[in-house]
Amino acid sequence: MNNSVRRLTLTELSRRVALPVATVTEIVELGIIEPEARDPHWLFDETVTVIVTRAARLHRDLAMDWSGVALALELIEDNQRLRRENAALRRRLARLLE
Amino acid sequence: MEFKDYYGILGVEPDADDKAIKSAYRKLARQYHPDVSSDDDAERKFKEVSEAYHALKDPEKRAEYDRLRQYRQSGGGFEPPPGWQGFRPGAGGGEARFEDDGAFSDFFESIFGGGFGRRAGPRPGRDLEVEMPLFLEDTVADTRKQIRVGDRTLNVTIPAGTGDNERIRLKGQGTPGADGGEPGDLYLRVRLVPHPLFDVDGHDLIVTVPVAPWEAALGGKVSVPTLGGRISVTVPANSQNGRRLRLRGKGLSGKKGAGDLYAVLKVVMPDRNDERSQALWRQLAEHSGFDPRADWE
Repeated sequence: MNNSVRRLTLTELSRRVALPVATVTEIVELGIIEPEARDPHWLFDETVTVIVTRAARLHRDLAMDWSGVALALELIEDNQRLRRENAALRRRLARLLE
Repeated sequence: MEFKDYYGILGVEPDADDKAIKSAYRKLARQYHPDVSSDDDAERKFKEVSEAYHALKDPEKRAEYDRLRQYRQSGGGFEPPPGWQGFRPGAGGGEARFEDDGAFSDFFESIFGGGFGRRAGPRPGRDLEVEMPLFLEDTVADTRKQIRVGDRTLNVTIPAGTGDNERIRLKGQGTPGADGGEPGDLYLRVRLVPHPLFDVDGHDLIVTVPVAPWEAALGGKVSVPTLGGRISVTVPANSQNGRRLRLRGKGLSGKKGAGDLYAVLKVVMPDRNDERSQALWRQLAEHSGFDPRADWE
């Protein structure tokens, strides 16, 4: 299985995630994803497709506007990180107290 | 076929207006959306809620559903009435189907049919992301693992030094494309499994090492577990509880070199003291002028 990572242009990315170029542009401008390169044109790491797809699901299923989606994704990511961190700290604390 | 109580699923009365239905759906969608919820059953619940909303938000579909609901016999089973044609959207019309995140139930399909409008031309498959639990021991060297995704079993090589939260991409293993479109990719999101001995902090590992009070006081050699087997560590004399001893390069391997292992000392009292030990402690107490609460004075 090939694990090499390719870069996508804006048009290629839009086609991969089945969204209009204007929508993907808005997603980039809101910082939901960041291009790997900006000059002379945007190039994206292929792994961003998963993030864009998740953003599109939230936009569609929860009728959120894109800036709401950007905020939600940030908060979800923070929340997951804090949950993991909290679980890890609790485990460490338990070792010291048990 | 099981009759679906779409009103019940959304928690609204059968005479609820569109606004109430929409608002009930929005609330449940936020609660069960698989991208938001940590509920194990979130995906199934969300699909159910979403299906109910798709049936009830459209006045035509809702009218069809209400007619069937009246027809429905008491009891759980449901067969469409003889000669039932089912609802079919007009040619070229219809909404873009709720993507292809798994079809709605047979019940939904039997009433409303399947053939919703689709865009013409090849459509690429979707990229998927699934979590993959990984043991710390499996990060030391390249490891082959079998993972199940849906009904498929995939063989994956996890490169040495793969860390928590990292993604591994399996090209073409996402959902298949439609009409000649390329398949999507599958991403495995690595989740390191909590270890009985080691805690993880980035690429560093932490191991709690119980020591006797006299080991902390006098120092000495202690055998400490690492991912590569036990090694001997020198505890310096007069070590405080919680002292961290760094074992360079004994942490998790990573792309920028290995992390360190921190051995954290935990001073542990013996479960019981015999008379002789009591006497020795007393002797120490009399000799030592140490007051651990001097700061409180």
